[in-house]
Amino acid sequence: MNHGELSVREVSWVAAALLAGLVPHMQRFPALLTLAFVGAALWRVLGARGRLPLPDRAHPALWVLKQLVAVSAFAGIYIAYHGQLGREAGVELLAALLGLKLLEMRNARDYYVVSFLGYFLVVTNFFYSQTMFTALYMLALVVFITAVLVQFNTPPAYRSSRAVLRLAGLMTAQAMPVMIVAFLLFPRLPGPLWGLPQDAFDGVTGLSDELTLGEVARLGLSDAIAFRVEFEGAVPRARDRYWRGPTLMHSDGRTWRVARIGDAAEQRVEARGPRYRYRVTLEPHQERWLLGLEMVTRAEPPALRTADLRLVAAKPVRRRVSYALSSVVDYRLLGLSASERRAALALPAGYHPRARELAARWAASGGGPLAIAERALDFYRREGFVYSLTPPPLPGDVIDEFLFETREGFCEHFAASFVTLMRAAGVPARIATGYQGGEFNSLADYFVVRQRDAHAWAEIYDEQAGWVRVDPTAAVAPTRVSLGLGDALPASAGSARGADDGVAGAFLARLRDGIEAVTHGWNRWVLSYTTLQQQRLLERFGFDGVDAGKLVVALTLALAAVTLVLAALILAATRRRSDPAQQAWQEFSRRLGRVGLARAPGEAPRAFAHRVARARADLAAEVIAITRLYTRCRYSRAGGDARGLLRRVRRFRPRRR
Amino acid sequence: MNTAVAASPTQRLDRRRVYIFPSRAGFTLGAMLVVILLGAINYDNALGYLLSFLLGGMFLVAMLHTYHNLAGLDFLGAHAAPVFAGERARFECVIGNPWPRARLALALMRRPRGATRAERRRLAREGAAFDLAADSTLAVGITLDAPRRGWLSPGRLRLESGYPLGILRAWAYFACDARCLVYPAPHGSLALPYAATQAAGSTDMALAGADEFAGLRPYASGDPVRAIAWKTLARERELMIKRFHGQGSIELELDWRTVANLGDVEAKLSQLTAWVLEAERRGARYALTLPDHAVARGHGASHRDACLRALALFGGDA
Repeated sequence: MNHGELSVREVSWVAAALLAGLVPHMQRFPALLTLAFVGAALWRVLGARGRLPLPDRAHPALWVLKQLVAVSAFAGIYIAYHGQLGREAGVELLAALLGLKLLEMRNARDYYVVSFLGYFLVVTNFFYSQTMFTALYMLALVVFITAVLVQFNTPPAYRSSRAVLRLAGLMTAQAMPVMIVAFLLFPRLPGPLWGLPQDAFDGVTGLSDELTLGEVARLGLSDAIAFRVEFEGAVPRARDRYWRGPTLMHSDGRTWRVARIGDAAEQRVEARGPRYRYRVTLEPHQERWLLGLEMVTRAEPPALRTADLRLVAAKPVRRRVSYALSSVVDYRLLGLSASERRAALALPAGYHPRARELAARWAASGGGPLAIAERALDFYRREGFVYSLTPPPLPGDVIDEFLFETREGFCEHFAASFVTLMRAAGVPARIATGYQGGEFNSLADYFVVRQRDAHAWAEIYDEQAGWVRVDPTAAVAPTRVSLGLGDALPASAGSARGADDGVAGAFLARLRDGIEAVTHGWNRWVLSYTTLQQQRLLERFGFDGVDAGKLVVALTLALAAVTLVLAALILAATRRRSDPAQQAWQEFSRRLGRVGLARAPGEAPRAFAHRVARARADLAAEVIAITRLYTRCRYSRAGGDARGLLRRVRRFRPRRR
Repeated sequence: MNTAVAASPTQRLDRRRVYIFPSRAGFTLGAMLVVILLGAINYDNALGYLLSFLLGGMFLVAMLHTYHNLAGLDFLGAHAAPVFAGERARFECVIGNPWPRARLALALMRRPRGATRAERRRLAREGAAFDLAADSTLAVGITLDAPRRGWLSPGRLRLESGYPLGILRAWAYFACDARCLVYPAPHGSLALPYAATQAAGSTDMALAGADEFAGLRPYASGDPVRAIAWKTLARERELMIKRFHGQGSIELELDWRTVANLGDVEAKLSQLTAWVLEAERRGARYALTLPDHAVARGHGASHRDACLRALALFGGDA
């Protein structure tokens, strides 16, 4: 279309679409930027209405003002981010640019660019949120921006907001099958293609691969989801649900760290109880280790099982991953090399003298490692140890102060002090970290494990029994292990969940479970859909050994099929004929049009007939007769003979004069 | 009616005739789609993938809709009333939409083969924008300069539309074999050649309007305003000219030899054209003699048009 000046309506629609696109960002934007953008949008709309002069060359003062605002916005963003164009700065720059572009928008080309940038704005939201709600909002915005384009291309006489929005919605709906097919089959390239800005994965929390006393307390209060587990068949009991992560071997007296490479010996598992088969969907934590039910006997990619039975991914987990595992909870874990034994007995020189003294006494009184461990647990039970998420600080020797003075702490304190005591007594020991428990979602049949379920416990080595799990926390607060953190603490200790009691509580719990179930489906099928899921999907359809090349072929074929169906649907409307009377009238008008007597748009049948009759006396009788037949077919209640009309029209062959 | 109308059959826009290609805006959107997709790959962002595929799908759907907006239309032919050289000819191109669905934002323009870029842009600007309601037929006017006498053809016509998103443009070409007859431009300084005529008992006096009323004829360009039958205008919707007969009507011989000293052929034809118009205005009976053609003495619109036609096509074949 040849567009002249942009109309008020056109300007308002695109401004509204951009504002809607910016709304989710506004909570993060500096207020000034939001204000400037809204101001620019308003100015442009009022300018289109002729209420305000626009800042163009005709108004030099305004033009200078606009340039000043623009320059100061860019400078402000540059200074605020110290010239580093990361994610946040990028989005703010885009907003500033859009405001400016909106003000300067003059012709069709500007209009298209601004509208397309609206689509781009939608993407920037995905850096911050990928929830289902975000996706729905995206969909609404896409419909809106498409409507902006449809309206721009629709002649004013046909521009009803409803028709425009309907067409935009219809087109978006028709584009969905293409989206789904492409999403399922587009080969996923291993990213990143280029360096990511430093703030790309901000705000992601999780278990750490080192433990300084006090760390896990922070997790203890977080309701964020760590991972979800779906069991196939049997489900282990709550007190057996230890989700094992990294084991910590080295201590410097305050901080515990994972074993160095080379320390680990090959280990083997002897399963004794039933096997549990399940699938874990892990939230990204930026580390390589994965979590599984203790003890994993079989892992499917992307989960890998190392020789020393750690569970890892090939790359740091930067997005949700999903993997299938088999585990046993009753087992014997055997294998300890000489170097590993040394590491599992090492204590930093000069630390924890009182703990060593106590442990030496236990060791002297004889018995194997298991007997010594039992003595230690007795010690915790008898000596008035208290489980607390807010223990007093330990400024000196953390282990000795905890064991002999404060006696108040949470899993880390118990695990670390227990391992120290074991090593001092000559029993190889290490700290295992991970999660314990998890709540069951009854609607979706899976467990949700939250960050507040993070846990630490101990493993000691016995020559016969192998590595044995000992949870000293359970000795002090048994409910922490059987019911979970929320129930182990007194109400005042700040469980992150409200009291779920009564009918309303039960309803709310069900509602929460429902939302959680939908979210999980979304996470699993959309957000963590990767190469692996792709292969699994195609295997289900009988395609094995899928690679990128085959995917491209499959994608092309599927897209062709979808296109054919869409084409049939969309073009079917063309093939649909009007009723016979209308068809006959069409043919009649066309035949007259061919001899230079075209019917004007909107010309009523009778007026048309009279005009033709006047111009061509030779045709007058037939034209008037046919028109009369047609009006009878269309407008008379009794109806007319449409077929007869059609026959008569076919016989009507006007010639030129 | 002296219109030159193409007797060509209806041309329907079927699959083979409709072409489609992204517009400049479409390429911009396409580039942006690639950027979004690269971003999605880089950040491994599932919603980024979804959006780029959704917009890709939108592109595809827009293609079908844009095609659909043009397909199935009929080009029913064109006709144009004769004009004088130097004027603009207007071809009424008749386009039919036999379908129960309106076609919006259409543009019709001339697009001769091998047109340069600048020419194409100018022709697109000159093109006519229109919409076709469901089940309707419309005459769309395409104007073009008629610089020389003879037949004028608009050449190939192009119908295009970017509806509904403007990111794609569908177009189709029609061979338009309609012709417009272009008369020579009427000018010349010589007076009507009364001397060469044998006026029946009268001298060179103003003759028109003198005598008895002889009926009405449709208005043609060049008719004097005072001869318009204003009273009948309300009844007939068309301008009519009052014609008179009288003993006073003169007879003129418009002969090629009379203008022999005008040198240039076109100047001669222009002078003769001016005379034909002048004679007709004066209600004279006149004959036209050209080296290759002669029109016997007569008067009235169709006589005038026959003379003008002979002048327009002088030296040519048709």
